[in-house]
Amino acid sequence: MNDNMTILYVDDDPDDREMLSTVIHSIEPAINIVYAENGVEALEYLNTVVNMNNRLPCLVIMDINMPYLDGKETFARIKNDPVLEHVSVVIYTSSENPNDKAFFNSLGAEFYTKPDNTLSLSRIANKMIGFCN
Amino acid sequence: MDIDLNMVPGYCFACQEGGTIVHVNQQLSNDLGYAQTELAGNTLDIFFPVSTKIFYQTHLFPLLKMQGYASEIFLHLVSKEKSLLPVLLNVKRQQNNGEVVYVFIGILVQNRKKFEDELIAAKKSAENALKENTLLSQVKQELAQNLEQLDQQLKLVKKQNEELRQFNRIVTHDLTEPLRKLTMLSNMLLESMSDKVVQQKIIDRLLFTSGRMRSLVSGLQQYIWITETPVHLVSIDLKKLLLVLKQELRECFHGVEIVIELQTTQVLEGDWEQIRLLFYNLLENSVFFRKPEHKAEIIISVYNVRLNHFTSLAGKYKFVDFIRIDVRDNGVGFDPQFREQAFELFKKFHKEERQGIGLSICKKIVENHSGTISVNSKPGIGTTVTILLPNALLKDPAIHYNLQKHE
Repeated sequence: MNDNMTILYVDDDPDDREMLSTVIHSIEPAINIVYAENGVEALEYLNTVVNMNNRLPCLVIMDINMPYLDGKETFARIKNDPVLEHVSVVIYTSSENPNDKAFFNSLGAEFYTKPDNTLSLSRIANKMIGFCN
Repeated sequence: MDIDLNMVPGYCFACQEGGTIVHVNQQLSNDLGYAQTELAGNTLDIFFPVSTKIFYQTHLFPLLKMQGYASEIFLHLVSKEKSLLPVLLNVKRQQNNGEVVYVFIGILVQNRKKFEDELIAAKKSAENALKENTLLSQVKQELAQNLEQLDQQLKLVKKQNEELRQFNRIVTHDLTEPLRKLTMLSNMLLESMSDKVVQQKIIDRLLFTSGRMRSLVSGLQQYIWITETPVHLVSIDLKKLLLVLKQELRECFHGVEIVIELQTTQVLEGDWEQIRLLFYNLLENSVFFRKPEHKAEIIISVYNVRLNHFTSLAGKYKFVDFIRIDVRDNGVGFDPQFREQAFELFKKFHKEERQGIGLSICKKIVENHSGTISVNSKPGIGTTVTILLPNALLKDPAIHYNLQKHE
């Protein structure tokens, strides 16, 4: 059973973190967003949650291009972990590379390209919140 | 004891001056297929084939007349059955009761031709083998040179592939990202026309993002400049260079105590502008990432080492002299498992707003000098950058080749 009120958002870009979080909170104020700046911090957080016997977040939103551990490697580590593999992960990236999209889609992860307008941002935020209901 | 010439295991015959046969031993008459009586009184023409007749008249007989003997004469006799007998003869002029007699003694040398042919063939094959051996050595030498060039080219291809991969990331992410953000912020600005506070915040982000993009492009231009600029080798006094750089860094980092210790008096060979930029970036990184409330301490040591020049081809060795430069600081350091990523363009390990291009430029400069660069670090302890530059850059043809490609 996941924690339906917590989302882990992994992104090294503070602007994106702020913009997406603002929109998510404006739609669903009760959601608690935890931030990580790269894959290492994300895995540390998830493992801490598991060790403390707490519930995993309802969703992990993850960027691809990040320092240390990028989105691909972090995704692979999550999906290869017998405990973490059940957590839902969506990719939220500025990459428009079709290979990236195909890679994550083939692994069952939804792929959102970071938008350049607020309407698309709201639409994406709504879809993300959908994972937590 | 007198020996009967008929018992001799060879040929023996004698003739007068005019060629009339006066004696033929049993062995010869048997091998020729004549009775001894048939031959005696006949002339030599009976068992000389045409070629021997000519040789006898033009060479052998004049020789006998002149010096009275001839040794190891090879000629053919012809049997009654017209088969040729190859023989080796010694001839001597003798006086017999006041009359001149030529005495021939010889052996049948059926296998001589075969042995001679074999000797010639053996000699020829020995000569060929020697020639091939020389050729082989030449080919081997050429191969060794080609291998060395191949190794350099493989290194270059790997490097260029890696650069392409990085440029791809820069175009698809690092440059696209701020553009998208600028569009997004502009849209947000349009939607918040009435709220001045929000507007100001968005404008600040717009300015920051466009500044960041300008900084990215300028970093990229600097990187491309280093890629395209030819390397002009000169002697560089590290001590003098570091004094200049220390002054520049003090102006950049007001109030920060900077200690640079150089443990060598060695003179480097390299491109002045590029080596200056290399050390500036390394030192600037060390000072920037110093521990809070600590002075920035940097120790530069230089050693001479011998290392394998081959880096791409396995199992190939050519040991050459390298200069190893260690730049060690007491800064914040980083997790060493990510040390390979440290040299990638625009890769950042810290949250500070920096381009993340300094170490990529250092790598490019070191590679322009046919060297290698690596980094090791311990969080909280410090970082050491190690540079290996081949000594005597111009003397090595492979390195020279590598340098020429920039010209």
